[in-house]
Amino acid sequence: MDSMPLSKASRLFWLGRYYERTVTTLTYLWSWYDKVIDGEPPDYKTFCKALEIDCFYLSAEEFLQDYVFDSTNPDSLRMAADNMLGNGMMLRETIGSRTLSYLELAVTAMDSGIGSLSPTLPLQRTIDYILAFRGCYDDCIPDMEVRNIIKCGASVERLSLYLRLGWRLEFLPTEVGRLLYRTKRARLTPAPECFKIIKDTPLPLKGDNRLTLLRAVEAYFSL
Amino acid sequence: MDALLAHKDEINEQLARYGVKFGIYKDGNFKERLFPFDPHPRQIAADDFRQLEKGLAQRVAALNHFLYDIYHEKKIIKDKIVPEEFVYRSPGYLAQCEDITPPKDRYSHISGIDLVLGKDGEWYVLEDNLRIPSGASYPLIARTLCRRCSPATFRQHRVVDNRDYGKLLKHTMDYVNTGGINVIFTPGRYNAAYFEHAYLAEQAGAVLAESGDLFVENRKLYCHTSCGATQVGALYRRISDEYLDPLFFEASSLIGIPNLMDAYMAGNVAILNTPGNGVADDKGIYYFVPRMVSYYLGEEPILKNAPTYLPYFPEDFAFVMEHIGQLVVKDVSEAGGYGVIFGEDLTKGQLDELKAAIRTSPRRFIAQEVVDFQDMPVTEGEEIVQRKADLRAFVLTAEKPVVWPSGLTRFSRNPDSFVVNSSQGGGFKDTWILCH
Repeated sequence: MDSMPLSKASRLFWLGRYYERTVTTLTYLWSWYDKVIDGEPPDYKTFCKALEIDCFYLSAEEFLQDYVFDSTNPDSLRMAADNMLGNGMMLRETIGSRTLSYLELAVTAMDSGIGSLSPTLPLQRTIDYILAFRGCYDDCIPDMEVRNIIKCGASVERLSLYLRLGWRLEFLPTEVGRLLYRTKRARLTPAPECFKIIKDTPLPLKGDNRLTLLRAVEAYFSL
Repeated sequence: MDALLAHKDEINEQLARYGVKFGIYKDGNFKERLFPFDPHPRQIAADDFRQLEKGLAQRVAALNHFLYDIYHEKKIIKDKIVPEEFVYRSPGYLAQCEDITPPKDRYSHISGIDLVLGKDGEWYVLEDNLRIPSGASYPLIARTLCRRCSPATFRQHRVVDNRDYGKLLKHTMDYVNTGGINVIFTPGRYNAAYFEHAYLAEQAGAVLAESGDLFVENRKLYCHTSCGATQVGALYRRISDEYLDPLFFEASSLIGIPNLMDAYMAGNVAILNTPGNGVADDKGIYYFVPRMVSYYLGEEPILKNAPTYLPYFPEDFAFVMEHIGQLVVKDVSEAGGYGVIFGEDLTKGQLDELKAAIRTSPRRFIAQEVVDFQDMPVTEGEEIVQRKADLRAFVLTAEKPVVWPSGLTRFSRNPDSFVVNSSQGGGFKDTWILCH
């Protein structure tokens, strides 16, 4: 890696976390939009509790509007998308204007869904653009360390969401393997005690291991 | 041209996609907005540009001589070409920079000269910007996107390519680099021109850094990088002089680099543009630039200033008092289109107040005749309307001043306004230098 300021490593990592938070959470919530059509309110209170965020929403509809689109709500997905773009903007010369443009498109698509009667259509475009961003940075950024720092952020976020939501737990061995591999390629130094827990926790999970693993994942890097 | 205009929406979509934004602070809040783009380009014929190019290079060469002189021998003051009050009372004059010689004697590496084209067909210089002139990135990216949206337009019109600005900037930085990497030093994301800082870093292959990334040790500037401490040889700073070094200038600055000036004085880093340049782009000093051209270069100035009066001189003071209703009065300490007062817009009471202010501090103001500059077509909805527009030309000085064959054309979106600044809601156009 050529002369990259250290602050960039932190931004790359958080860029990875925020894009993954946006895209993975949207994927998780996808079926909820369908459920509300048939009057089956999804359990947003449990969701908020699992993510340890404030739950002030009065209905599932309000949750799906405010949690997803409200740019003034610090816990919202829109805020995560804003942080994704903000980190990307501060990395333009590292990731390139072309790669960054997909993040601009993702946020613009998200904003076009505010108050929409068919919000999943713009949200689908948001997911598409983030996936395009993922392909573009993997293809266009020549520096392996830069790519892998972003991927480390994405891995941490994905594991965190899976563990918190108890979702896709069958993928944990694959995701843990990816995180350890990417850590080496990114030449990042993780917290040793967290590294040991992540490496040694038997999968599939048993008993109280989920919370221990979650805390280790979230404290893995101090970036 | 119709093909290009027909693609206006697509071009604006592309500009949004690439985040071509400009930040403004309103009511204490930072807001980013897309910089409105109009696809009608300003077109300058090859012969006209050659003349403009000569005039701009001449002006910037003279300004560089002036800066060297002011911070060293001060011959121009001793020879009574420029009164000393205009130098030493200028807020841009920094006594701390006395006797410091920058690498290769270059002061203004990136100069932004604001001009208007009068209805008489003459170019008039309105302002010189020798500190941190913004704007090159906008026509630079707009050209790329316009070519993408309407390739037919660029097959039909032979336009000089402007997309080498990044190389030109890199060469300018390399020329004065004292050994180390090139860095663009930004105050951060919430600066009005953050898009430009990041885009130019990408185009010039420089590292974009903030104050926390940079430090001085043993009179050398370093960047904390993943490879350890890496020495910086050229720093293109995008923050004002007073915030550059809290140990040298404004002590409360949180965005500066402690001891940067120490490294600079030791000759271990080049700073682009050089601290202290504000003395030469002061609105009061502007009056004397044509005289500088004759004094330092022994040449007749090619470019004209807008007719300007300095209330400091008794004969000009009398003229300003008598004709204030027809003049535009500028507060020399303001920038960005602020502090510009058109006499014709004022009531009698307001005119009297302005006269009193000029009487109290004549050095604080200049007055200019309103240049009746040419309107340019601007698309507004389905209509084409005429609006005032200026041109910011960029001159990059390495071995010698080189004029970038393009520039930022800014236009007013208000039909009654001469103020084109982006911070006041103006838009921008590309500037085409034609091959013929």
